[in-house]
Amino acid sequence: MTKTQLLSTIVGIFTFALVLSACSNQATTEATPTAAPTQAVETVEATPMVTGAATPATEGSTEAEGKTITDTAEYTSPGGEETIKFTIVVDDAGVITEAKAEPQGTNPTTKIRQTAFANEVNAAVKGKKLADLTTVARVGGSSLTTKAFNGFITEAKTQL
Amino acid sequence: MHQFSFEAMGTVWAVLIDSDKVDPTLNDEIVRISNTFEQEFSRFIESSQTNQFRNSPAGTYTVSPQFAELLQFAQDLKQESSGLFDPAIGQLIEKAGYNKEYTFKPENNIEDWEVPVWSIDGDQLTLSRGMIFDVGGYGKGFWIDQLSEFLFEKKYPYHLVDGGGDMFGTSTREGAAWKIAIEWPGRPDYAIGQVELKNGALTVSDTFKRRWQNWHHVINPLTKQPVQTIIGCAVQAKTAVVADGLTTALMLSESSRWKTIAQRYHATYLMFTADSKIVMSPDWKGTFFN
Repeated sequence: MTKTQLLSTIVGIFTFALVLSACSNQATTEATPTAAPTQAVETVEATPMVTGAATPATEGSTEAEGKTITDTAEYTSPGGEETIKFTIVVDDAGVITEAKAEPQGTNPTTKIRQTAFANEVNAAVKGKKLADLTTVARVGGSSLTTKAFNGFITEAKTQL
Repeated sequence: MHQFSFEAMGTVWAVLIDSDKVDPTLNDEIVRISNTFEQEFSRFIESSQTNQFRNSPAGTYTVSPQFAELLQFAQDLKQESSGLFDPAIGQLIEKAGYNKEYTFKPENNIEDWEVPVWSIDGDQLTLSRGMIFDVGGYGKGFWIDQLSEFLFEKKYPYHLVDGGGDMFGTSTREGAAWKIAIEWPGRPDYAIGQVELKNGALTVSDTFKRRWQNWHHVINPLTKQPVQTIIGCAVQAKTAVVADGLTTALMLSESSRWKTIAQRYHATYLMFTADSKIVMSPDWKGTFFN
């Protein structure tokens, strides 16, 4: 994959984030295809919220040198109105090195979501149910554990 | 397409072979040699080579060529990761509760435990004291590569070897890449994206499985604590041992070190941080489902 394609992949995520803001909670019904490279670059450069040098939210991310682009999306979740801040970090070569989704809401549901990675990034990268993936040969993942481990861990949990 | 699965090294393995005919004894032979490898290197098996120095005094010992190879890889990665990747933490993991009795009860004096010092030169292993090696993560990658070589020797060049979600693949007969989905960390029924694997390896690890109390299996030997800032990692590399070793090394390392370590091994990565960022190396090849 070329850098441009890479850029388009991640900007695809960003584009989806913007679509999310327009479609409210219906955004989960359809994923936006990856944006064409030229559009992608325009999207990045035309965004008015370029904030110059990045200040990474966490310690020492060297990936985060260059420009930070942020946008905020609001949508209605089962727990009520939620606001999610999207941040993309672009390096000097124009390659996007980070994409992040950060819930800003204060209602109880949102607070719980802030501890759960899957729900947070779900707004930016939709993912697919493994059951719906028919063309892949295998799934790369954290290794399945044996019955022994799972059996004992359940037992240990009940003892706590 | 010939495909079969078996259990070994605490997980489920799958071998895919793109060939019209496969020798009916092949499956059994793969299971047999895999079991032998497990017997030799599992921390859970008392007579294994990784356990043989449990009560040894300081000194220099001769090890088997295979063990020497495993330790040489680890020594190199240990150096590149400033000591954070270190298979010498076998005792620490046991003390934390992940032992063959599955106590899952961390001991109180874990902070006092010190990483034993070791070095390998050829087949000569020097130890500062008795110790247990844990090759759990990257040993699986090592064996994935060995099985791939075995399949080449048996004249099955078009294959994919999957060791519980870590894998190495050549290509299909038509020369096509193997399409592999990447599991969403902490959400095993979901894929975050996919990669095309051709003559390369993909490994994925997260901190959601193999978890007990407030511990999980990615443990920092210097702080004696499980990693808290990273929740998952995916690595692509030329071999499974490199990819597997790097998932552990990167999860243990500061983000400022990721790029350097990965480049040293010509690997690419996705890091999933606890504050919900996905950090990718600029040359990561793959797509996200968005």
